[in-house]
Amino acid sequence: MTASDSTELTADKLKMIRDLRTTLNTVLVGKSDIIELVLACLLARGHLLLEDKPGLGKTTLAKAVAKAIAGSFARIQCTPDLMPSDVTGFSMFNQKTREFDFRRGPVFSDILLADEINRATPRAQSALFEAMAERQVTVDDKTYELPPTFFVIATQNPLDSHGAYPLPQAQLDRFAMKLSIGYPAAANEEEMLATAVGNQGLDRSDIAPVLDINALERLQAEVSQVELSNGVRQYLLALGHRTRNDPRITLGMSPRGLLTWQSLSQAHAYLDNRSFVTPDDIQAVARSVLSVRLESDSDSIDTLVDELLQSEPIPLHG
Amino acid sequence: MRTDGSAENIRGNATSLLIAISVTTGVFLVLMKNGVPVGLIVAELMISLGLLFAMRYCLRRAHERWTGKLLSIVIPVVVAIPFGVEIVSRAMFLAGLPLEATAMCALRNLTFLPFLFPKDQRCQCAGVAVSLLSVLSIYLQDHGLATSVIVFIYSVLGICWLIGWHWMKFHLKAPSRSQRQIPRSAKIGVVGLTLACALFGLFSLRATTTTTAIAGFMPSSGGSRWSDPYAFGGVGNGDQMVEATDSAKSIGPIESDLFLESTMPSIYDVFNDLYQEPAGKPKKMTRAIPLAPSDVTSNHSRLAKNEVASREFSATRRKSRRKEGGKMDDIKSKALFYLKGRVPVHLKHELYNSWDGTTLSFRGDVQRPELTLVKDQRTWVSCAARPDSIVQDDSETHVIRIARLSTRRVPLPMDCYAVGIDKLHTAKFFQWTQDGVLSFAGGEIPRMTVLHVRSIPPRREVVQAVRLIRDEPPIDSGLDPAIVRKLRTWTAGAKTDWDCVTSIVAGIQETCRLDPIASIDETESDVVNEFLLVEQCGPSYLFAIATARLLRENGFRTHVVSGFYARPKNYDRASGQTAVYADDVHFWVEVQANDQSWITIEPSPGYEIQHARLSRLERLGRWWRESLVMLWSHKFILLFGVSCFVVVAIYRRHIYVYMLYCFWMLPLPRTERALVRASLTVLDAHACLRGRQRPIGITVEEWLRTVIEDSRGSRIPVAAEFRRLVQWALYAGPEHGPTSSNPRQICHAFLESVLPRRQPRST
Repeated sequence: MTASDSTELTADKLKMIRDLRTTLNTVLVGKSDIIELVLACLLARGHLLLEDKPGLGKTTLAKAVAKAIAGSFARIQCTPDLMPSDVTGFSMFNQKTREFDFRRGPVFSDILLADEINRATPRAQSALFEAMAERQVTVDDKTYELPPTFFVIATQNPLDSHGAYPLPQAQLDRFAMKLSIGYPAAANEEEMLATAVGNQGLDRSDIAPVLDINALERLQAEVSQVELSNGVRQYLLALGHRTRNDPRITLGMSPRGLLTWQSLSQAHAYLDNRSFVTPDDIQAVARSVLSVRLESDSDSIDTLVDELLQSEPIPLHG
Repeated sequence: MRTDGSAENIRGNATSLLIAISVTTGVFLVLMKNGVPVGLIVAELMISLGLLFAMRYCLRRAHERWTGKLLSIVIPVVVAIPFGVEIVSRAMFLAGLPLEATAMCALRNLTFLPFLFPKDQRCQCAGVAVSLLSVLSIYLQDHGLATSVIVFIYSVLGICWLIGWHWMKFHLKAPSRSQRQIPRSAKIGVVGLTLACALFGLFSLRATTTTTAIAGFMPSSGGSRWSDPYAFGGVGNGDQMVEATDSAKSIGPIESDLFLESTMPSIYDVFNDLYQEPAGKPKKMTRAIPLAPSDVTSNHSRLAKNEVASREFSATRRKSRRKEGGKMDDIKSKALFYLKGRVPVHLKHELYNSWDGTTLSFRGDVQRPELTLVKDQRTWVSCAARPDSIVQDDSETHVIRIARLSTRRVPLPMDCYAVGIDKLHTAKFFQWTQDGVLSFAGGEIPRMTVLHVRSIPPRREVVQAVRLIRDEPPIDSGLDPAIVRKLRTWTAGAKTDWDCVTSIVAGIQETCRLDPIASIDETESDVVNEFLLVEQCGPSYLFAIATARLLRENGFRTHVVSGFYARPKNYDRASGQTAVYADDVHFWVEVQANDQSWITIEPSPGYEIQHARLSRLERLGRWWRESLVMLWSHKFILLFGVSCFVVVAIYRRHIYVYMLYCFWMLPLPRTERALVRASLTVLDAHACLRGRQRPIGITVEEWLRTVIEDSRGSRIPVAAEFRRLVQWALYAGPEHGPTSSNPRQICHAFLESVLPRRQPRST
């Protein structure tokens, strides 16, 4: 990159990203690829859905991200009796001022962890719709802006479907990506066990912040400047159109999904210290972007995504 | 221009394949109607289709981006298939297609391009365009019913394809959810065009059909009703011949006053035209006396001449410029006669056994068997010593059709034993000349006479083993001592009579050069001495005379024969005939064998004697032997070629990649981006040759990673920089500079590291 590049990663920005990456890697050992995608999602101003079995570090990761960027953190433990006002906030009559005061809910934070989101009722889930898509909340005809770095990390357990409410497609489409952390490798697990000896009660997500909110905002602004050449854009479009024309896929890619995919690719390129997107960036985030959006009755989404990527010719020009 | 395998594209491919099939059928019909053997057409078609299917199988997994490169290979191969088949067919079976038929087959193969590259629409267009050319060519050559039907089917298919193509273009631009429906106007257009084609096909079936169809609408050539038998084609061409009396414009093969003043050349006119007039004869001095037209008709009196006796042939000719066509004239066939049957063949016309130093002549008499009638499927006049069997195993049948030759002597192949003319049931029409040549008893052979002749060409091995009559050599033949010395040298190693004859012929051919227009100075007293020692070039009669002289010097009984040589190059595949022209007049020699038969010797270089037809196995064996001999005679060149081929075959990958690499190294004026892309091309070729071609869905970055791992792993120091450069060259915008200060150096270092010195075999 030349010095004139606006999206050039200077030494301090490089250090910030490296520190963020290192910090999160110490929390979630051996999952650097997941960390990379989480960072891409954060920089692309997306929202993250973590779906995995219990005890694999979903909540820990969410908390670690919040602490690492030194932002305000809120957590909602989703249960069937969760009310929308518990998420967005509510107006309460103030006896002194004789007026209704708005009590802000947990949604007014930089990082919102919606734990076990599929346990909440659809009514409560839909409370997050406006917040996630438009970064604002409307209560009693009043609209309240959310912080620009508003980042939702929702977790859900694919098991124990009793008493669970699967997320509607409209909600899923508002998430940038869906990730599964998976079991750690044996060596990493051994390291984790060794670290835990003598440190009973240690919160692994209790880490020092490496980034402030303003810095994060600057990084997010730079990510949106990363260049996408015409050939790569056509490649992205062709992939998107294929998801709509494939007879095995019952629900294809939405235009909002394509925009999200492009942003995530830009973020991935930025994290790789590049100011232009390559097909590698598109492929790197493809599975996590598509798995939250595509629906198929016959084949698994991962298989379909692999076939999709293998069959579409890679552009060899910009 | 490329799309995925959409339904429209598949339909377009199916239509273009049907078009190719209709073209194939048309070509098949045209070739069959032009007399090409069906077996040959079918064999060529099967081989072509087989190879096309094999190519389709090989190309099924080829990536679309390779189509351009593959096309540059596939098109020449597809075109070359019929020519390759032709070469093999001619070499092994002595049969083949004419050039225009082979070209037509090549065009036909090109129409199968959409079949080979079904995803490429350029190929579909090219295939259909070539099919149009093929169909035009087919229709120009044949207007038969079957061909017209094929052309009609082709037209309908072509219209469907065009509309489909047009429609597909629209569809590509249409919204995905829009309802697709062919417009009504397009449907009407299809029906209208189809009807137009049908009418065109109907009218062009036959001229009479057209006349019937448009009766009353077009002016006719004569008569008042279309059924008038006189009105079809004009004079001499209708159902009933029109008798021509006044101002006749047409001719027919009948005896009439029109043919009395014949301009057909005699054999002696042919000699004079070819070799110039004989020397030493006074020129005819004529004086023109004007006569009234009424007096001219009564001057048809002529002097009697003996046409049974042989004539002389002078070996000395005037030295003058040969006649050349000075002005443009109508192109007419100049063939003296036509021959149907195997060529080359020597046709005997006159025989000379006496030589006085300058002139050939015939003295004495020869044995002449009685002419008898033998009946087979036709009536034959047997001219053999034993007329008991007409059909023999090794016999050859030739058909001779006299065109412009004015002679009474029948030009017959050597060892001819029977002659036949349709509806001629008597031997009295033929008689022997003094020199033993069969001739017409009643005068010159009428024009357009068709003669069937049967002969038994000798087998090559029989000729080589035959014993020749050898008399005592003459004491003083008048030959120059230098020639005699040469003769001794040539025949020194000869063990048999045949060896002696062939060594003399070979010696003369080595010494002298054939030149049809050269001649010996008319003042020379001995032509042979002059020819062999001084001039050393001349026409065939000088070769024949010199050979005969030298053979007689060795005691062989020899005579010189003049006649015609039917050349294979004059063979016309369409008519199956070989034209014999005035230029084909030829002289050769015959020597007598112990069994009193005469064996033909060809002394002139470049001429070939017809031997008995070989069986398929014998031909294969002969071809094999001759191939081995040829290979052995060029053994050093062959060895060098094979060595080069083996080296190239073993190191082909190295050679190809390093050629690309050398091209990359050339200091061409190109941008840094182009340089990096060229490096990627070298790597791509290298990987392809190792069977590690990049799959279409794998990114360049990922593929490079495998290339690096395959070659030297992480030990390549510039690998990361090179990968960055490649990403920049392929996907970064023009405002981005290269990611390295010296891209050329990095590319060079990377290629040096990746391209191995010894390449492992691909798996």
